[in-house]
Amino acid sequence: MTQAPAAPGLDRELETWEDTRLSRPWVTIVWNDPVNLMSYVVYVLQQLFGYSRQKATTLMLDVHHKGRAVVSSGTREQMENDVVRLHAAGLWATLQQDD
Amino acid sequence: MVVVRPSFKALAGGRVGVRLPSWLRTLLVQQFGALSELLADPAGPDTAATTPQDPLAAITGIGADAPSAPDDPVLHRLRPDGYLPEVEDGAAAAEFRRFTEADLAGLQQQRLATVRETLESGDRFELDPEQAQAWLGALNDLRLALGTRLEVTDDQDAPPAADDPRAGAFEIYGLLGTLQHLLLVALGAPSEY
Repeated sequence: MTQAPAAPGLDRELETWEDTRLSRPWVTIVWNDPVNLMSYVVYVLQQLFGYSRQKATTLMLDVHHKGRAVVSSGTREQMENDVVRLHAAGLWATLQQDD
Repeated sequence: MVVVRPSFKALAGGRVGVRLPSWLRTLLVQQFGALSELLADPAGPDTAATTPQDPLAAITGIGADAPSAPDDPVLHRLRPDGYLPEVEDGAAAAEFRRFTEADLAGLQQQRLATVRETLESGDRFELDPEQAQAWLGALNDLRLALGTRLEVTDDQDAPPAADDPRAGAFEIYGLLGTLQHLLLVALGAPSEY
């Protein structure tokens, strides 16, 4: 049996990587689709997240023009819950770690 | 002769008064019934995944409405992935689906049942706030299903020619959009879009 040669600094690098990975928040992304009415998307974002009409409209227009928009951020569990609620409303949403 | 136009009217207490011409009520019963059948998947997604593809359906394009087809784009649109496939090689999406799909399927059927019950009560009826939400969700599900089946790809899709076999379905799709818009306005949503 032998030990792997010491790699000074590797442990610390791994630690830093883990810290960065853990501290990066998760986000919920709503994707554009050709069916959902714009007024419906605004309505859903207001209902689910309590956003003002102005904020919900801005997000809807981002989805419409840019193809996607981040609508919420937080822990992975919170984002999974948001995605579940958006799917229930018929919006296509996914969660991922922020990049 | 009086032409009855469909209307959704905001009432006190968050209730919504609905009036539908008889032909439209009949049409909605049919359309929501078809969606309910499509979404009913008693075999469950696990057995559905092993069902072999019908080669005839692949040629004719008919048969895509088989409720158990795991890759039916309509089912996939109504119960989408929660993670993009590249995240954890799709394992996260599968896990997400395993834990959430049954609840979503139950909710979709539940609001279809609510819509069916209210439609049975006549051409005029009132919705309480919860029933109004069920109507909104079910109308949206139906539009998503039809829009996906019709392969609506663009927000400004031009309607097909009158002799196109899909013309009737496109007309229904447009009509459902109008109904959803009327309901949204009754619920206080912005009317400018």
